[in-house]
Amino acid sequence: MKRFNSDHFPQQHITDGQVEFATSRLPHLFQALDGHFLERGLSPTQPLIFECANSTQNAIVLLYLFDRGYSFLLLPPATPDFDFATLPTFFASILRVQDSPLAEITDCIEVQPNPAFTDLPEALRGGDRLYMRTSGSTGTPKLVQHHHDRFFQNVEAGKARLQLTASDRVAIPVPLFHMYGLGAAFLPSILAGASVDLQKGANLLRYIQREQKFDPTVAFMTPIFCEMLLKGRKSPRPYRMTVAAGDRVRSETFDRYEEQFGCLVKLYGSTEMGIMAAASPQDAVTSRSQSVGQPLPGIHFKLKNPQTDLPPDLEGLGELWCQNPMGFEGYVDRCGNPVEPTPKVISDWFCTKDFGQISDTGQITVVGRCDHSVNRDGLLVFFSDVERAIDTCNAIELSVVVAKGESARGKGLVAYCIPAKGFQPAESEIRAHCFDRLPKRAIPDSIQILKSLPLLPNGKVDRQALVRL
Amino acid sequence: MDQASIITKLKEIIADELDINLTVEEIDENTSLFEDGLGFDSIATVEMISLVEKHFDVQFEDSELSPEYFGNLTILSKFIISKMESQVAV
Repeated sequence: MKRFNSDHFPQQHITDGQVEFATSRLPHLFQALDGHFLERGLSPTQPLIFECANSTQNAIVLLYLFDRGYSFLLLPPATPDFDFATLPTFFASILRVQDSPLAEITDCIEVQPNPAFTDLPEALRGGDRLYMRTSGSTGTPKLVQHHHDRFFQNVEAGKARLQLTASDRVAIPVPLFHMYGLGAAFLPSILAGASVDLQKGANLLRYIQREQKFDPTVAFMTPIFCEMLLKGRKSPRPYRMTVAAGDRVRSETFDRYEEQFGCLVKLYGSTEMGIMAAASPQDAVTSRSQSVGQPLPGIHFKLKNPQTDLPPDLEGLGELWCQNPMGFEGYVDRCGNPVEPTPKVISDWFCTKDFGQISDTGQITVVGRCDHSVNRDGLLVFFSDVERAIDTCNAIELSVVVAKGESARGKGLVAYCIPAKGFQPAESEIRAHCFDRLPKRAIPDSIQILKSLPLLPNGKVDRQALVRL
Repeated sequence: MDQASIITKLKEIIADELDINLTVEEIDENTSLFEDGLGFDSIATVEMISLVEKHFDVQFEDSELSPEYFGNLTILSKFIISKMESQVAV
């Protein structure tokens, strides 16, 4: 066993509600998998694609790939209409684990050749690489390349910051093929000796049912799921800690969540950088509510392009840049060729494309995406500020603001609004509401009422689709 | 209210009040409400729970918020009947 030493944790289990597995059996099982992988022509130095679902059997194979130093790309399980010809061309095989509660894991493994495979560039031969797809909705898709050693340093640092221990029971309703589910939730929990409950698809009813059976002390959630739980759950239920990442947590949500479910900790990371900063459950509630905590040890932040003429609460705002010796090695395209920008050396600074603040004590506050703001009348306008002002209108359930075209003030602002149940607000009514709450430069040039918002597969609003409307 | 009229009412609620783009005719009472059927996500599920509570004047407990009771409309209608009866008894 190279990465995982499970015999220290006799109580540790991985479950998905169907199959429960004691990790003390891992060394024995891994030996059995060695033979199976060899038979199927797989080797750690031949990069493969692993379609990884949130299940016990998939999670075990995932741990195996890390332990034996395989190079692999993590993808979600393919949908029936998936076009395999679009896959990257330097992975020879696709690995899949069919969940079958009654079968031995070795009988559940499927390997098929990658139909898009052409060849493996010399530079990418060798093991110990993790590839993930960027989740961005714009531009050509890129693959992010990590080295296992550096990635696991980040995992260890995350485990320490979140103070995960062998007595924790961790609910993971976020996908393992994303950095958050893998690098912040699953692997730190496993290394801490905690038991984990892997859930497919964050369905509220299934979550509450699993919660009653598994009795978690810690949960990793998205801010949207935090809000879902607040709306859907009937009674308070204390957790030792809930970790939230992925989007900003609204301050009203934060306060209500703390009241109902206990300590909420914000975490800031990306596919390229892994975990960059996270609050600790020991931090004071005011600090946890405001910021994503301190950078992990060894990680540094600086601000570039400081913004001027801002309201007092945004003072000191700039683009957040991160220096992370545990971050990614670079981007490659579909064929495995390097893509700029790629860090030349590990001390290179990485632009997070987020606006943020750094406090005197080093706490990081993330204010919003750089591309979710525009310059109007020579000053910065954040879409999130406009959305928040519109959302205070009773007649509006939810609004999303995008930049579109030009206006006399600079870039054009369009607000797309979903009316609240039983309301049919007129554009003039919403505009009047904005006039009372926002400076002139932040009032949208156009307000459109929609029945629903287009969503990306990850549940976030598809802003590009709104721009194209 | 008998089971058939509860199912009809549930179909109307889904078609008219939930934002999931389904008509009454498209909803089968024996189809799953979730990914493998009508495609309810968590947002639709939360909405559905509060609409059922409002229209049938019942209150669910946390322990009753289970996929078992919300599997499909036939199962849900039986559960609503039992809730209505138990609340009358109290």
